[in-house]
Parts: sequence; structure tokens; C-alpha cells
Amino acid sequence: MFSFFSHKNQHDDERSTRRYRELIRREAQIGGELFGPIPTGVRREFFCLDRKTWVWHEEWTDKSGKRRVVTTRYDVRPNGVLKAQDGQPYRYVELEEGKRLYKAARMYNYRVQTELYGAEK
Amino acid sequence: MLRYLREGMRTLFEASTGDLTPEARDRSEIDQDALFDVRHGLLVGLGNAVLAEEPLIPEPMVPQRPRPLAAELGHSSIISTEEDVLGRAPLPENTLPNGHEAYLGAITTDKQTPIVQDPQYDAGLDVGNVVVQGPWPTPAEQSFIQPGQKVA
Repeated sequence: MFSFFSHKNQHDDERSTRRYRELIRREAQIGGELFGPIPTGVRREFFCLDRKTWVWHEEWTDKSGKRRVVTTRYDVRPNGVLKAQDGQPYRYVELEEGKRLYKAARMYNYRVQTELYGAEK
Repeated sequence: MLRYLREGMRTLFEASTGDLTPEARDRSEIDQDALFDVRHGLLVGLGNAVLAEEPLIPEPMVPQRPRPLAAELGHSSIISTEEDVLGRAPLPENTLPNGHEAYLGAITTDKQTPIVQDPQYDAGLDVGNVVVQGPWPTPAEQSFIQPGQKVA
């Protein structure tokens, strides 16, 4: 009997996790559309991972035919926003990038809330 | 079979009532809180200059609830339900007749070059015709997020 409930709880947890990840995937798809048309062969995702972390993920094929992948992570700290990109050390975002990040975050929030979570426009 | 049927019924119910699953409610709140956190981080890190622009889109859905951000910053006076988060009156409705889509169309019309061409191209987080500065890292310099790693 205990095993049955334990198994059910585990199943519910897994289902909840799947749903949560699916929501993030759908947000990431919406986020990727914020920056204009996505060229053929490019995969672009921009999403809020948690309330302190924004992720921008881009995959494309360069002129030599090699597949490129870059993941950029913005960590929101109390004293600023840190940027970490593949292979580069942390640095605080500068003014222009900060402006663009904020614009993107606002547009993302607007579209996700209205298109995914049904907030009234 | 029953499980899928039950799931389907639940989905239909949620769609018909507008209710959100707990996971969706959670995400919705995180996204909204995250926006304010970004604003806070940029305000502290870069000052008001980063926000000294007209609102990109009206914010009719600014949550009508206490904003910890405003309290933390001691800027409660700039936050009002009658104003947007920047303390300015919302744009007239006819400024963006089709909502944000009008803006999105505008920011892509002046794009003359592809967003991404090659690793040397300064490409990336592009809102308008300005992009995050590169150059891209070399493969030997890896950070805590590996290329292709699933972060969620």
C-alpha cells in the first residue's frame, strides 16, 4: 500500500516537472521570436529560467558548415546583472546591453503573460 | 488509457475556465517577478539611464500589488497604478494599434544584415539593430554552461 502511494507521488512529481519544463520550452520559443525573424537553420531561444536567471541560446551553422552553439546567461544580482557566455568570464552588463536586456525582458513578459498564461491585454 | 482521458478532460476544463495549472501559475509569477528583478538589478548596476526611454509597450497588466522593488529602492513615489513602471503615463492606445506586434515590426525593418553570420560577427541579443558585443569564445574556454547543455 505504502509503495503504491509512494509510486503515485513520484509519478505526480515527474508529471509536474514535465509540465514545468514544457512551459519553459514554450516560453523559450516565444522569447526567441522577440528579436525578429529567425533565419533558416538557426535555433534561437530566450527565456527566464528562474526569477534570477535569463538564458539566451543560439545555434547556427557558420559559413564553413560547422554547427555553432552559444549559450549566454544573465544572472540578476542585487547590485547588477552579470553576464556569462560560453568560455568568457563573468562581467557586468554595460549600458547598451542592459537597455536591450530590459527591453527584451519586458517584451518577453508581455507576450508570455498574454499568449501563454492568458493575462488580459 | 484512463490516465490520458483524465488528462484530456482536465486540459479541457482548464481551457474552458481559464484556470492555470499550479505549474503555469508558478511560471507566470516567476516571469513577472523576474522582470522586476531585472529592472532592480539594472537600476542599481547602471542607474536610471538604462530605463530612461519611453515604454516600449503599454503595460496594462502591471500587477496591482505591492512592489517589493519600489520599496527596496525607496522609489515608491514613482510607482503608481495610474502610471507605468517608469513613472510615466501609459502611451495612448492608438500608439500601438496592434499591441506589441507593431513595435516588433518596426524593430525589424531596419535590419540590413542577418543577426548571425559567423563566430566573429558581433551578434546576439538583438532588439532593433543593435546587438550584444562578441567576439565569440574559443571552444577551449568553457564556462559553467557547456554548448548544447540543457539548462532547464
